[in-house]
Amino acid sequence: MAKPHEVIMPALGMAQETGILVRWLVEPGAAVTKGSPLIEVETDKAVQEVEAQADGFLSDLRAGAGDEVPVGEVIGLIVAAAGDVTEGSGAAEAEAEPATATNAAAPNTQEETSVSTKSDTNIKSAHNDAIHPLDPSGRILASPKLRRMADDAGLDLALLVAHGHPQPYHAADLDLLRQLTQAAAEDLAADLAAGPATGPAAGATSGPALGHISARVPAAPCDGFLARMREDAGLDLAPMALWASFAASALRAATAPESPLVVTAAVLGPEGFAPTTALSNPDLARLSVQPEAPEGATPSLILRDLTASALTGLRPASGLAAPALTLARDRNGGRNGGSDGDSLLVALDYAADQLDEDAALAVITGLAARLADPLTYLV
Amino acid sequence: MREITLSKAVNEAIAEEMRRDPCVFVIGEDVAEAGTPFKVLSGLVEEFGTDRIIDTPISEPGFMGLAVGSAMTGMRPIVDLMFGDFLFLVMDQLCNQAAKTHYMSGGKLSVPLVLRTNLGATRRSAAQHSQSLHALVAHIPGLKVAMPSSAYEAKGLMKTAIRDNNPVVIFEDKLMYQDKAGVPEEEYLIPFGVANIKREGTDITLIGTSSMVQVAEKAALILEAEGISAEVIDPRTIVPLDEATLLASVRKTSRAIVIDEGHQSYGITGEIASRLNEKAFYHLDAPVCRMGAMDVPVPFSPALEDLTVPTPEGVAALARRLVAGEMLHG
Repeated sequence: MAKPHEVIMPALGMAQETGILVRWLVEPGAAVTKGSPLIEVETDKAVQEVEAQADGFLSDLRAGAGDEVPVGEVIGLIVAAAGDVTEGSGAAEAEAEPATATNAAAPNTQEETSVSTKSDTNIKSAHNDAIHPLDPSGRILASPKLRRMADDAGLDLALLVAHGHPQPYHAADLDLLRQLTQAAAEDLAADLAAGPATGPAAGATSGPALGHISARVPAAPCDGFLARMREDAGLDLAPMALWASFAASALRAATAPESPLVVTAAVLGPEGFAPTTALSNPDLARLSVQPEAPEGATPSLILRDLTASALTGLRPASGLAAPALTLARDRNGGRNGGSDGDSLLVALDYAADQLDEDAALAVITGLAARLADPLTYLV
Repeated sequence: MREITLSKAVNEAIAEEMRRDPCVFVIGEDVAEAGTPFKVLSGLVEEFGTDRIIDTPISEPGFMGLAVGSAMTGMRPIVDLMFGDFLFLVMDQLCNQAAKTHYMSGGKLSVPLVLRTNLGATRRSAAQHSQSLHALVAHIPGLKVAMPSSAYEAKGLMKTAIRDNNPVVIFEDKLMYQDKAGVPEEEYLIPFGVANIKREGTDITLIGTSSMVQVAEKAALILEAEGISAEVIDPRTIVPLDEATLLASVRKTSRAIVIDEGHQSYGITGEIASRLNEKAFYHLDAPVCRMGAMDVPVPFSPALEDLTVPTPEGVAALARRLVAGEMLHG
C-alpha cells in the first residue's frame, strides 16, 4: 500500500501556533484531488480555504469542526485507494488519538499527538499546562549555543517548530533536529522516487542513463548583488529570479534552442517544496518581471532551489521530464577564520536523450561563470 | 601539609613580609596589643614593636590619609580597617587619592598600600557591621581587589598584595578566620588575575568569590549526587579578573551561575555575568545567572539574616533548573 499523505494543520501566519479547523470541505471517504479545497482554517486573522496536497481519498480524520489544532499536527490522511479508508481512530498509526470520522475532536488540542511516525519517541512531551512559549514576533526561542550548532551543521530550527517540539530549544535538541532533517530528506527522496510532481510528463523518461555534473562557486558575488539591489535600488529580488535567469541563459548558450525556454522553478522550504512556477524565457526578461509560461508548457529545465534549506544536494531517483538543475548553499565556509564564505553548489542531472555531455558541461560551466560574476552577465 | 587557620595565614604573611622589607608597617585600630578584634594580628607587636604596628585613635579618614601619604613617600603601609563597612569613611583617601595618584602624577608617585578589611554576613553583627562592599572599590580604576577563599589563598594573596606597587584592597570573610586549610611551610605567592579551578565539571560553571566558593563547592556535591557535573571556579582577585579561565569554562559547560555575597543589584555578579554574556554568547545554552545577597540591609534577626545570603541548596536548585533547560523568566 502506498504511503498515505498526511493532512496537517498548516502554518498560515508567521507567529501562528494553532489553527481552528472550521470545517472539512470533503466528506470522509470521498475522493479528493490535489489542488481542490479540503479544509477551512481560521487563524487570528482570517478564515482561509486550504487545498489538498495529494490525490486520493479522505481518511482517518483526527480533528473535527471547531477544533483548535497545533500547527504541524496531522488532522487526517489522504489514502491512495478507496478500500484503504478508515474512520477516525487511526488504523494507520497505532498511537493516533481516538476520534470519530464525523467529529474527530482530539480530546485536548494542546496535547502532542504523533506528528511524524519516524520520530515520535524523541519528541518531548508537551503537557497541557506547558504553554508553548512562542515569541509573538515568530522568532524561534533557542539558546545561542543551539543556534550556533545548528548553523554549523546547516540545520534549520524551523523543522522543530513544524513538528510541534516545545520551545525553548537547547543544545540537547540538536539530535532530534538531526533526525527530523534526515527524515525530511528521506521523505523528499521518496517523493521524487514516486515521480516528480512537476507535470504530466513526470517519469516519462525512465529509460536512459542519467548524467550528473556538479560545481561549487562562492556565494558572495550573488549574495552581494542581491544585497546591493535591495539596498541601493530598493529592489527585493527573489534569489530564484536570478537563478532562473542565469540557468536559462546558460542553457540557451549551450543548446541554442529554437523554441522558447520554459523553466519550472521550485523553492524548498522547511515544509517541502513551495508550489512550482513555470517561467518562459526568464533570461530575456528583466529580473523584477518574471514572465510566466502558458499552462501546460513542456519544461526545458527543472530548477530546484535548496539554498534556503539544510540540503546540499538532491538527486532524482528516476528519470525527469527535463534536465534538472539543483542549487544548494554550503554554509561550511566562513567558520575557520572567516576566509572562505558560503558556497553555492550547483548540480545538473540529465538524461542522455535530453542533453549530450558537451552541452551539459557547457550548461554547468556557463552557470558557474554567471554565478561567480553576476554583474558581467546581466549587463 | 600542615593545616592552619585563615587568621594564622594572614598573620604569617604579614610577619614574613615585615621581616623581608623594613618599609612595611601596619596601622589601624586595635592592631597592636589587641591584635584586632578577630585576633588576626596577635603577636606581631611583640616582634615588630609599636613603631611598625601602630594603634590609632578611632579616626579612619585620619589614619587612612596618613597611610596614603607615607606610601607616596616610600613606605609600604598595611592599613587595617576593622570592618568593611567602614570603607565609607575612607572613600576619599582611597578612591580619590590612593587610586589616582600614580596616574595624576604622570607616574612620578606610586602608592604601594594594602587595605585589609573584611566582608560577610550571618555573624549577627547587624546592618552596619555585616556588609560586603567590595563592589564599591572594584568599580574604581586604580585599585586592585583580592578576595581570598581559604587560608592558602589568604596567605599567598596577602604577600603578593604587600609587594605590589599599587593600592590593593583585600577582603577577608570574617566568618572564615577560624577555617583551616593546607598551607605550605615554604614561601609562596599567588599571582593576581589567576583564577583557581577548584573542581572540574561539564554541565554548569559555578563562579564564587570568598566564602561563596565553599557554597559553590557544597552545591556541586549536591548536584553530583543527582548526576549534574558542576565546575567550581574561584577568581581569587576580581580586579584584575581572570576572564580567560572563566570564559574557557563557560564555553565548555555552556551555563553559569555567579555567586557573591555583595548585594545582587549593581554588584560584581552582574559585571562577571555581563562579560560572560558578551564574550561567550554563542556558547551559552542558558542565561548566565547572578546570585548575590538580598537587596536589603542585613537583618539583625538571625532567622532573617540567614535568608539574605546564597546557600548551597539555593545554588543547586537554580543550577538544576538551568541544566534542565527550564525557562526562568517568561
